[in-house]
Amino acid sequence: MISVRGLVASSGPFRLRPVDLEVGAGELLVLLGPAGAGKTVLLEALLGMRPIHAGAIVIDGRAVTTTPPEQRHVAYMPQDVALFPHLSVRANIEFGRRVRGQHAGLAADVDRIVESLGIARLLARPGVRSLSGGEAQRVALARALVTRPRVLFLDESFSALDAHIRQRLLHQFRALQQELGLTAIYVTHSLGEAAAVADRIAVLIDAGLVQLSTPERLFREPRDLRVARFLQLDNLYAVGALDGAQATIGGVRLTLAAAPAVAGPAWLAASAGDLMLVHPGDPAVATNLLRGTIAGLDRRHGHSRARIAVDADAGGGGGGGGGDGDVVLECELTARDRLVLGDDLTAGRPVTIHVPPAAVAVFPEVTA
Amino acid sequence: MGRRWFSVYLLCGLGLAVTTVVAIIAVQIGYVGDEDNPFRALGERDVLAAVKLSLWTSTLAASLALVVAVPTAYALARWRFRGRFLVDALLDVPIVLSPIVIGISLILVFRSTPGQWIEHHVVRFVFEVPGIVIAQFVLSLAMQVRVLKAGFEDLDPRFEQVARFLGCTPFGAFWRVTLPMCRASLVAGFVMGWSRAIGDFGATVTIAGSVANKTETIPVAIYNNLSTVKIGKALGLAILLTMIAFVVLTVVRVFGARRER
Repeated sequence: MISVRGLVASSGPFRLRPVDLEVGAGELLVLLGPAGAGKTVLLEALLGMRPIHAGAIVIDGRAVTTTPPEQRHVAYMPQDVALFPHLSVRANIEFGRRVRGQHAGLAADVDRIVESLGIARLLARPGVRSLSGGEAQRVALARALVTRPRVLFLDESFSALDAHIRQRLLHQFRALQQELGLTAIYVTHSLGEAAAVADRIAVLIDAGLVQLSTPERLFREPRDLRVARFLQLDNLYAVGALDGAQATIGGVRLTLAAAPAVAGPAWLAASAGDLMLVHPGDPAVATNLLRGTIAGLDRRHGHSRARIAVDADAGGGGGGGGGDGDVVLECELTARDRLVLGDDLTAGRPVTIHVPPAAVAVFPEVTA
Repeated sequence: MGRRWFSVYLLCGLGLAVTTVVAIIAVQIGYVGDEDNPFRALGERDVLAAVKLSLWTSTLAASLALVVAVPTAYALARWRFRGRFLVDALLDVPIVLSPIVIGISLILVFRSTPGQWIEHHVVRFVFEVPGIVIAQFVLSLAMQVRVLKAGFEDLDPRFEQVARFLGCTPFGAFWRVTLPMCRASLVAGFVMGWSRAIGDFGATVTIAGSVANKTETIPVAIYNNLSTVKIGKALGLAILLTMIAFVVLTVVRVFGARRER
């Protein structure tokens, strides 16, 4: 549906590094990255709102690199929604179709979309000034969808809303996008939003597209340390030595699921949700058993996390090696942990932690 | 400065400003001479002619100025080009200049070769009614560009961008979104420009002279009547001009307040 080749765009002194991107029909691609990474510049370049210095953009088989916005047949929903205050809610929603003279079936389309978004009751409002933030976002979304765009571009469109309204709207939007088979590109800096709606995520860091993959794969296989840091991956450590499928961090040796193909300095991360506290003699787990002590407990966002200081002489079974005490692993505590180990999971208690090889991601410090 | 003193400071400023304007209006209305009653003079033929001339020339000049001011102000508000500040400052000059200087400049324009050609082949401006219109046009234009530019700059370009993606051409976005959203600025700009035009004396009298029943606008008629010690008639016209200004400005404010709601 969308094909981008070697796109170089700028905004004042800021210049994007060449971007290559393919977006499939009906796919929802999220452009994710920290503030100032170039997400909005890339989005605006795709929309034709930014000077393009090199490269090509093809939408639906048609080269649109220099096509004026009104001839691209795409819809754009900015963060501030930009509803027209001089028009009624209905006139706002119908605006795009009326401008293009597409009156046939307009009323039916409007009714269907406002029904799906739960804003039918707002249609009679004479103006948009009295709408709440969530209502305004829905009206703006309806205004975009009624034009039957080939692609919908959203720039942090739901970011300004309260968390619970944002969540509901995101799910509503995702359901509608899938129902309509609409191709969409959604810009956000929020990991949660990206993971909640994306088919694939394109990570932009330092003015360049660093990684493009599914949400699951992104978190399992970050391309390099910059991505891992941005994704705030758990248990991030520089690998001291890498020997086939064995990695050593701070003197602790871990067995990996496979030998990673990493040249140069390597790092690893292991999701706190995948790490488990076990009995030392648990026959179900043989590799990466590390002895340590609970250094602290964290209760945030409804989850409990234990910080385990791995013993300097922790001679684990299988691949577990001796540590020097510098390694502190974060482990999410589950009801199972409490059932197996009892309720006295308090600071200072000796424990054994299992790091499943499949939970460990190894990646280079830098990539070209 | 404490809160109380600050309030006193604000009240003094507001009180002085209102008193000044009220005094100007009150002394006009309060003047009732035995022979020179200002209200009686309002029905006289030459007074009515001056009123009629002032109303139609200022409305025409302000309308023509609006047609030119809209694209000028929009270009200055949206385009970024080298020398933009220079052009911006240049367009402000008529606001600062004495209107007499503008009148002299216009006379010089129509004494030049192209100006003479226009005078002989198109329309006569010097000492003629079109001269009034062009003088008022120049004064009105500068004022309208100033007000409209501020209005266009206040409007977030995002509205126009969204309109483009909804299918509008650049002109379509301007026509369907920008202009309606800047309606208050358009009205304010037009009224300010019209007020400048109807109140002008210097530029009008310099280029069009003060020919009774021909190029005599209200301000010119006031001056002429004062020169010939017809105080009542001069004051009658002054009261009329004041009333017109007050009514128009009040209507604009009421209209603006309604739009805001």
